[in-house]
Amino acid sequence: MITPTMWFKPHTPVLGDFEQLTMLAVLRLDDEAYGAAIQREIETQAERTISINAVYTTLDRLEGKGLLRSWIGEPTPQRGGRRKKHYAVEPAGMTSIGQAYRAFRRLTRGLERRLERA
Amino acid sequence: VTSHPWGLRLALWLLRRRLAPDRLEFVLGDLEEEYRRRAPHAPAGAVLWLLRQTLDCLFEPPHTAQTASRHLARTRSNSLRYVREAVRSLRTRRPAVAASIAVIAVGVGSATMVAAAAHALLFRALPVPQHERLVTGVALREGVDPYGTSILEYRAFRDRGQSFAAMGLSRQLSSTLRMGGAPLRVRAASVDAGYLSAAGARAAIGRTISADDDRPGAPLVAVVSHGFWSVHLAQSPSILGTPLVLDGRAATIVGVMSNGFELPFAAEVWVPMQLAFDALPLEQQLASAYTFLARLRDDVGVADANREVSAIAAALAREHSQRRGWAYRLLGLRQQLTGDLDGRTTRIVALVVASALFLLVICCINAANLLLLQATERQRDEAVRLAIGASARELALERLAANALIGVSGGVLGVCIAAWVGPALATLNPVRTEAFASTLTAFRVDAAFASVGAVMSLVAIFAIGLVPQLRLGERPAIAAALASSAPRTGVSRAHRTQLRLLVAAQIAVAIVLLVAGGLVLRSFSALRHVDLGFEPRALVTSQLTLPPALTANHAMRSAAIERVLDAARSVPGVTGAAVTTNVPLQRVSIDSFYTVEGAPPGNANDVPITAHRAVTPGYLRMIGVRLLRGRLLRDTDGASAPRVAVDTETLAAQAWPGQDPGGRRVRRGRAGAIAPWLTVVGVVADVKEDRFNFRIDRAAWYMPYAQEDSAAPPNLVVEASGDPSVVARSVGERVRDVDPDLVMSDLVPLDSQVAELLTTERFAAVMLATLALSGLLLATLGLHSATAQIVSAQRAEIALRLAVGASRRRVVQMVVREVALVATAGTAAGTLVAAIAAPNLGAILFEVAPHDATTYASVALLLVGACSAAAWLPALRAARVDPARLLR
Repeated sequence: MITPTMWFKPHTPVLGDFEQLTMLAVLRLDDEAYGAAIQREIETQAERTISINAVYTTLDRLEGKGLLRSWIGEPTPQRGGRRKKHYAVEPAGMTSIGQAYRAFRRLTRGLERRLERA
Repeated sequence: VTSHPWGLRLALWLLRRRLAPDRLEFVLGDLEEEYRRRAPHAPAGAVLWLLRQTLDCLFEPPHTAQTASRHLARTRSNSLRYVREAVRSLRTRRPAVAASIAVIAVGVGSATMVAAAAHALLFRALPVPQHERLVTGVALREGVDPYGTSILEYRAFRDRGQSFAAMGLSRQLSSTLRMGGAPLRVRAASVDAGYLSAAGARAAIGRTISADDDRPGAPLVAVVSHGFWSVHLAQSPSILGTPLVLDGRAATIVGVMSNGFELPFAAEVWVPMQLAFDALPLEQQLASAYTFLARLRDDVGVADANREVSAIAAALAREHSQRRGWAYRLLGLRQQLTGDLDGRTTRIVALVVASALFLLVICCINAANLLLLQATERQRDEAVRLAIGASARELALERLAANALIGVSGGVLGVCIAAWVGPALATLNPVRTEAFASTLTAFRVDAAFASVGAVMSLVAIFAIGLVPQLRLGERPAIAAALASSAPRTGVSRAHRTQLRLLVAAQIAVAIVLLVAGGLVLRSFSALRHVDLGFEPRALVTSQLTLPPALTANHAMRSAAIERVLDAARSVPGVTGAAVTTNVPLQRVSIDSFYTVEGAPPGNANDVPITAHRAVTPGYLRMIGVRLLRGRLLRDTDGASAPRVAVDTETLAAQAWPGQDPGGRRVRRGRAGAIAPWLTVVGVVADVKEDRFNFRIDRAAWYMPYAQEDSAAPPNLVVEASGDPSVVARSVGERVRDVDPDLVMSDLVPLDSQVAELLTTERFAAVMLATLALSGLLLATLGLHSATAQIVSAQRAEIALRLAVGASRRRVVQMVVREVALVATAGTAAGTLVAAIAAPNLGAILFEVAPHDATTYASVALLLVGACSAAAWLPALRAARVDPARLLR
């Protein structure tokens, strides 16, 4: 069946709530964005308990959408001699998160005082 | 890196098996890094965090575009997936699942606990080598009345028997032992040379008793138990050769018995018998006063050996006129220890086990019932999944996995409950054993019982799994289920029939349990209210051992007894004190033949027997016997007064049927014996003196202690007005002041000794009542939930009926009819089964018939009450249906 929405498919994928948090954490951590650090960042900044499992699922999905890229880092003793998988935001990812940010900004304009109090 | 805490190691090990290989390294590295970062600040929190992360990863491994298809292929054949799906489906119906688990836990727990008790009582190996080949025996007077073994019989078994590899005799002594300090009362056993080797006794230190030690005139040796050595000799390794004095005879310790050996009578000291059996005069050989123990040859069974000893006993009866009327029976050692002469203990234990299994059956049906109720609600869910391509097989496997999870959880919980509660069961004390109490009544749930519990859980899983699976054949009507917009598709006719059958089955099994419980309870109550003929309350008793210096002759013994009684009476709170040669219902009873003056038996060997009691004058009044005729014994019935006796009514009826026994004469021994004649001065109501024959009345007579030269250890009986245990302590101190060498056992309340007699019956009554009431409760709950669901599914119908003018009374009637139908069917089936099975209980019931109408009627009444309670709420809800709202 052909639906009208098929012709208006956006070029930049819309991010879900948890995907936004993950993208922001990767951005904030810059060079140090890998699984454990991303999880820690979301837990401390967003005050949400999440599983490493969920983080990896999301990272994989975002990488699959072309919003993130990843590379393998050096092994460290704290990790039992295991290597890290680092992530960084791709330009498409920047566009997506930027869109989300702008939408959020616009929608919250004028509501700041009420939202801060809530 | 070197130190890996066990929790981390376990988590990493688990995840290594679960995660996709291309993720593995990074996830494990992240988990370890984060765990190490958290551990120094909050170790417990770090472990919890790790556990949670691990569980998350286990149940939902991270997917990637590359691994997703591979993962899917792997899990398709992975049974864990069914478990995951099952967990998911169970989560959505928590209350029903929790109820099912609890019900199964109750069933498995009680069955496991009872099985543990039965195993300890009937099967657990006794701590002697090849205990199942050890037999003991009783001589049976008139074929039923059990006595000890005589030396005559023992010699015959030894010389003519082929069944035994080894045999021995023992005799229980209640002895005074002195080793320097204060005299001790000990459980001593005199044994012949064969006894200890037949029993398989081994010495931990030194040696046991040899044939040389057992020769008459040999220097006396003694072997002490491991417990005695530990408590009284401080486990001294240089104990061998230590002298001791046992009942005035000097002996030397030659050995310490290995730990745990307790034959016979949990003895603490063993000494040789030193009797030349073959040279003893026949009169002594005839005394049925010994305990026999033999080890069967490997190729001989108990039944074969029993045939042989019966033949030998029959031959002895032909050869010796005094043995006429006696038979002999061998018993397994365990049978003797548990006091199971007539198989009653085994039957009672079997009954309790059967009841626990019945309860398990009820629990399984109940759980199946709960799950069946759930199955209806899942129909729609399953129909949706079938529609989007799930196979019926897949759904069935998932259901099976869900049931297995419930069964396993219930089973584990049940075994835990059993392990926790099981030891408490031992306080119910189903048996009083003479030896090996720690083996026979340790109802611990060990590894073996965890596996019994596992088997029972498996049975439960299949039982509860079977019912929902029966519905597998009927393929859910997908279209119908999906078309229905109601959350519940209603209860189909077939489904309703199945529900009713399940509930009726529960009620039927509960009825069987209730009837058995009711009969046993009534029998126990009858036993408890048996007329003892005496009043045990406020009485405490103790066995005295008088020092040899005070017992040179009977006059001295009587005088010493008087001093003891005076000392006891001087204690504040003591309202009376007396002495008897036998307290009622003691394990060992002194009996005596008797001859009636002017009525010698036609057959010289027809010798009636009476319980023989020499008592001080106040004794009969103090224990509260009921005088029927004449008088009780008086202080004036002294040593020089005319010899008198007080008889029980059974003795009077046996000796002088239909006549007044007052003034008539009777004497000890067989016709022609030279014992003095005793004049009957009074008749008292029957007194339960005989422990084994507690259920019938046996003859007994009482004679003044001063007139009867008796070497039997006297029993002190004290009547106290206050707390008997407080008085007992002062009495003990005061009596010991009479003579420093006088030894007395602890004062024990007489009613506790009477209560002890019924331990097995009490065990049965408590267990059966508990199991039966649990069964009733579960069956009632099952009835309630089924009725509630049927009513709830029929709400539309009820509303319609109300709308077209049916009265609310008719609606309630409809529900009541529903309940009555199911309850009647269940009750009828249960009563029928109970009536058919009940005659098997005949052997353990006392004064209650297996088809006792009162019991059956009470059970029926109880059930009517329970069913009414179960029907009440659903009926009320049905009556409150609002047609206007429901039909809108």
